[in-house]
Amino acid sequence: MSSRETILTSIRRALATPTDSPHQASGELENPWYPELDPAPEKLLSIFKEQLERLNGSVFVEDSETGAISRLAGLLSKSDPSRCWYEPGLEWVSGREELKDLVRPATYETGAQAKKALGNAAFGVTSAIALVARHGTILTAATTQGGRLLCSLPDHHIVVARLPQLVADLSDGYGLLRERFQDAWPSFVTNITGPSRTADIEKILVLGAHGPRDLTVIIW
Amino acid sequence: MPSYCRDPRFQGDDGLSEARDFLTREREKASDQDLKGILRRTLTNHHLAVERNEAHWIDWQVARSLAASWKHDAISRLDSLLEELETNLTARGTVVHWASNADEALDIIDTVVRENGVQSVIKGKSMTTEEIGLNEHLEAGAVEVVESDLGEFIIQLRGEKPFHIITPAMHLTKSDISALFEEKLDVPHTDDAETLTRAARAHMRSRFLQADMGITGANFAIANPGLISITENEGNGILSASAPRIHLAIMGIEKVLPQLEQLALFLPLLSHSGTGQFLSCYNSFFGGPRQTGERDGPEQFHLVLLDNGRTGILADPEQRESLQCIRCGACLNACPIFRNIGGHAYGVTYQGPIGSVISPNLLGVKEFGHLSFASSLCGKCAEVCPVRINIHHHLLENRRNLVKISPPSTLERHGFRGYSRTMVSATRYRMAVRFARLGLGMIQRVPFLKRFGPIQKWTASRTLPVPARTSFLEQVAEERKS
Amino acid sequence: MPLDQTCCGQPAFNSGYWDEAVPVAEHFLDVFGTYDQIVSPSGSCVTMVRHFFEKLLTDHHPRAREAGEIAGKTHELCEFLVGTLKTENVGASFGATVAYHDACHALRELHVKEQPRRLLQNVSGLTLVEMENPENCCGFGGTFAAKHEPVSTAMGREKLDAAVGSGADYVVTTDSSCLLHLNGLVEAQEVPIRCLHIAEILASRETTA
Repeated sequence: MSSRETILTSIRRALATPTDSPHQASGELENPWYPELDPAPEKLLSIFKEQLERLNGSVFVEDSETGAISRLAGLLSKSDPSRCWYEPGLEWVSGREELKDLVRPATYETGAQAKKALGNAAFGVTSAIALVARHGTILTAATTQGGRLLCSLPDHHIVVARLPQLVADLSDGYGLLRERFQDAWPSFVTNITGPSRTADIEKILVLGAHGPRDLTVIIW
Repeated sequence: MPSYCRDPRFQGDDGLSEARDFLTREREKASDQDLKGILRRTLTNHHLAVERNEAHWIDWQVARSLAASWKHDAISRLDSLLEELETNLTARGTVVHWASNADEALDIIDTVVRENGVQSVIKGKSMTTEEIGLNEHLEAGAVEVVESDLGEFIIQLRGEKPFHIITPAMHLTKSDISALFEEKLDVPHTDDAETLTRAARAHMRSRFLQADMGITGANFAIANPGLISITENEGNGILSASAPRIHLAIMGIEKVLPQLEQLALFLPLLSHSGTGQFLSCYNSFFGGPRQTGERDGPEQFHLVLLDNGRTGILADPEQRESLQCIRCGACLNACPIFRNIGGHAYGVTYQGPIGSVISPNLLGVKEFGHLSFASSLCGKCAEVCPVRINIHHHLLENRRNLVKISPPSTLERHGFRGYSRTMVSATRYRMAVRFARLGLGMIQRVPFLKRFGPIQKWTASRTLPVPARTSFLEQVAEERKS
Repeated sequence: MPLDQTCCGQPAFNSGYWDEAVPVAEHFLDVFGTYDQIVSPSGSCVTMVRHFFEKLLTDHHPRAREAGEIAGKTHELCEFLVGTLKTENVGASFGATVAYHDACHALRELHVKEQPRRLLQNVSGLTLVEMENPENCCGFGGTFAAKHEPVSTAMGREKLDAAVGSGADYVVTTDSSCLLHLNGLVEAQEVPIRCLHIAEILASRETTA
């Protein structure tokens, strides 16, 4: 018998004796554990901003595409363009005159190329699937942000997003994942809640352990 | 033999050497004032963070109950969930392996290493890999292993085991770590935690980029749509899983849950109990190797499902509940014994209260049952457990199980038999009370008796009570007669 | 007050000697089973009866039903006074500063927390203070106190330091087991505080203590 068979058989034999739980299983998978949030976009935005800033992320809310591009340009100009990368096809970044000398599309095709490009990257600019207001979380995936490494290797991760991408809770975000990926689930999805951090040294909070030291979200 | 250890049961290796060693370590750690100081500071901060975070929940007690019921449900369907997980992961190109025990898991990993010419491994933090002794095994096979989590990296440099399942270097001060980095990494001495962290970041970067294989654990697995979930704050988990060409994850079979949506509760639940955070910095879902259209990611993704004694616990209806554990570490942080002796004293992979419940059942009741006795049964562990495991009740059950096969001492066994025979008879009880009164009186008058075996364990630091001339029961009896 | 009472069986039960505890539990049922209400000044004994008799005398035991019944009518002293007799003031007087220690079984198994404090607050002349971490275990834990003496002592010292730090003259609790351990430490190590069972205070008519 293979180990697979051995293990499954052991489990089935064990479960032939059922046990009771004193706690009632809820059929509802939705959030009844946090108080409901006001779904109005401005309210969600305000909560998202507050949460992410509390975690030392920065959030810029712009009135227009022009404002957003200008904000992005301002951030990127601090660095050598050869160290700045953006998610290829990122709608209002690619092909923009104001940005073309500041940041390059991460068009590598293999993991090895990705590592070479990003190993010393200063900025990685990506999209998001959703912004979760409750926790100040950015939901993103390998297929949507130019790969796994673009959001995790650079020193500074910038997310560009639109206001309608704000959702109240993780449950809402996962509903969007289901819709978007139902037939083709990506190899990697991540919930990013602030810049990288550690408290392994005497519980002292230090930002920028191995992931990005800075996290910025530009919303318009 | 140490002087406090005159108990005749500690005579030679009859499966009781673990118990003896534990007591030695316990005594040593309990008198370590530096350790006490740092644990107190760290744990106080932790408790404050958890307390503050409680305000986010409508009702934390309700959240725990829901989590407990979902975990109970998942475990009651473990076989079908594991099969569903395997099917969905395999459809995306994942190789799913099943390991009955640690040796099989190591064999599986050896095969992947050999078949792919792996020479260097970068690791995300995983207590499951500690459980199977992975690092030592790989290093013996001339594979370089680097721990990327800062706490794990620190203890790896020190050649130590993790001190705590969540915070491996909890027992070390900044100064300890600086001295370590000075010695091993040529980092000039510093008082600054940020500088030390930067040094680790710089050191690790090339390791992420050059390693052939990344090995991680998993906090949860989700049958539908089929993925594993890794919770972390540093980002080393994502990098370990994503930069090398092979990602291998190893996970205990009990961690699978039915639906993705349940993570909307379990992720903040884990963060709350584990670190007092609203949500940990990175919670990532891995569902396969790099898919078509993805720009990077590992060419291979392997998941090793590990039994290693878990089906044995599953088969015991009393202990099955202990499989609900999400390895958050809350019970360690709440436990007064842990606070006084720290994680290394336990001498097993899984420390603290939950460790004292599962270790005897994973490793052997006779050899490790003593851990279930290293508790005052205060119940604080059960109070904080986010999935409502009645840890202290399981400790009682373990004690019963150990006593049945190997009573801790002959003296004790006879003592409780005598106790039982006395307490079923009011006459014998009344005689025993009079005898005890005489005995206590004698001990007060003849001090050297205080140094006898079990009594000495009390009188080392405490006085014995001076009994009243008559007990309350005797007074009532007198009153009724007259 | 039945004169043929002996013990609830907890010492054997806690140490894993469940077979030895069963006849003791049965004797308890013999002695107390016929009463309407049973009160004990001990959270740990009440916990044994209320929560653990059913573990000892499980479903297939002939006396399982009795165990279930007695669980419903056994009370710790403070919960009986406040919850059943609806009395928060027993007319006691005790002039001293007192810190209450939450004994583990009473607190976590019986949910006795407010009742002793309310009773103490209504004692004339008594000042009730809260020590730091009143819910921390004192370190007795039955045979744990001997088997794991270094930790037991450290826990007891921490408890006493907190009590002394609160400015209290007395540390008070619902369980004699805690007091046995704490008082043993107080005397051996000359800690500047005294230990009392809450019943002793509630029975007191002293104006200075």
